[in-house]
Amino acid sequence: MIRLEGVHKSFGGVPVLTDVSLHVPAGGTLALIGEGGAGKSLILKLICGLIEPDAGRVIVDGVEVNRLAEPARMALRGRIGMIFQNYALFDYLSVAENIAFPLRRLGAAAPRDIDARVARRLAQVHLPDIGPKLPGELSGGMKKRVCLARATVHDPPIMLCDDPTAGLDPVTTNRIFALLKQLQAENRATAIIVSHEVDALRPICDRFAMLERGHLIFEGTPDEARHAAPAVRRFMTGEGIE
Amino acid sequence: MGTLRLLVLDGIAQARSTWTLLVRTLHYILHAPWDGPAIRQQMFSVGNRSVVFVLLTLGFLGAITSLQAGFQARRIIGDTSLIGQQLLPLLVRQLGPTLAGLMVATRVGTGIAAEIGSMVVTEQVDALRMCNAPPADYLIKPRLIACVIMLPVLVTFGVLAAFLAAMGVAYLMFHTPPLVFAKLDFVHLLDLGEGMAKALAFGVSIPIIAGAAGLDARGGSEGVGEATTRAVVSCSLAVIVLDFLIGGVAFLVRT
Repeated sequence: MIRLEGVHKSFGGVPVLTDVSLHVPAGGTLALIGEGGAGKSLILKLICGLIEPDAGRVIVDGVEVNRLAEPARMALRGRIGMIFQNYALFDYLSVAENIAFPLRRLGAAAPRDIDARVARRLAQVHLPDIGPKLPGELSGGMKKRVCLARATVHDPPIMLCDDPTAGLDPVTTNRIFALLKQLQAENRATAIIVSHEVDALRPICDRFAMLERGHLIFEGTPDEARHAAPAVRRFMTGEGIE
Repeated sequence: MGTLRLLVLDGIAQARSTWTLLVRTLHYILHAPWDGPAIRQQMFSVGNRSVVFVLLTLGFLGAITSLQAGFQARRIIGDTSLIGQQLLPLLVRQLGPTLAGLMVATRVGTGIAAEIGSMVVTEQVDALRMCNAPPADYLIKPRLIACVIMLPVLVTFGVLAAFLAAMGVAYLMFHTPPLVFAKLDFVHLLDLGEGMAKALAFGVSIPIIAGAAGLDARGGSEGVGEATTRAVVSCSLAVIVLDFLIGGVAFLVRT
């Protein structure tokens, strides 16, 4: 379960999030949408405790993240699989070492099992033969799938995906969303997916939330969005755009 | 006035983040396992890849100092036999560590800031934190240990290179026999201690200051560039200030 209560965050005096409250029940999938710079990625980093809110509470599985000391916060992060907007693959490690990294650092697998788990996850993301390659040798779509493999190799109960299909073609986009859905279902994970691909999100997300300039202007099901404010309908359906 | 205030505030924020990083890194050095391969890799990067740079710089410095000192000694007292005895303590406690420290600050400090800064702006540092690999433990600790081990080694090689170059110049230019030049009577244990204390202090300060600059990088390549510039300026300044402080303490001990 993930809950944000009255969260505020500013950078250099400029408010980026204002009084944002959200709730994602255990096992639920929330699509977080909105224009660029609305504060979507920031919400994911607040949930991981990578950034502190100025006010309000961020609660993950009943624990208030911003009150945790660093060791407890690290333990919490180990239960979260995060796909970063900029891939964030370690460019000095091979693909296989990248995927093995969370298993080694989190102690999530016995050393003798790590290679097998990495190979299995690479096969699952349809990239079985690229283990020895470096991230710099991969295409954008391949990097995103490696990101997905690394974020989920330790079977985290929470998945946070920051624009996992940015800049990808429609075929690769659909493939990545299908993989996300499959991996989320396998782990029964609670997930938040930040994306602009509203149509692709519809089949895999229970609820949508929309941010506009740091304010939460909508939270509900895709059906409820049809009766929401014009800004939400415009973003969800493209209606009213000339 | 406003600009000055911002500069002061920025300086205080930098000092605070550097101090916090030092405390965290020391915590992980004492309480977390050491990554042997990562430390060896950093030792290679700090030591082996800097050694030619340090040897050349200090070798030329020794040669120049010997040449200038020889000219002056011959002009004023007509005797060049004392140059070596005077030069060696100066190299051991002052010129060797400081010059080697500045060279490492330039070569290694910029490398650390650029590497970590680019990891920050590409979210790799956030990814590390998500995998139970805090930057102070995973990135800074191996670099700090490597610098603390390799700086004294580089200083030792650098002092030797400077002294040998000085001896060669003294022989070629002033016909001072090497055995006369290389008298070790004027080098005391305290000189060696002062030189090594400086090398160790630089070994701690350079990776911490450069690492803090890299971790504070913001934005894109411009932010990495700023972090690198800040690192080389701050590391060089730290070398000079620490040199003065440790030299002052050694002076008080001597008197």
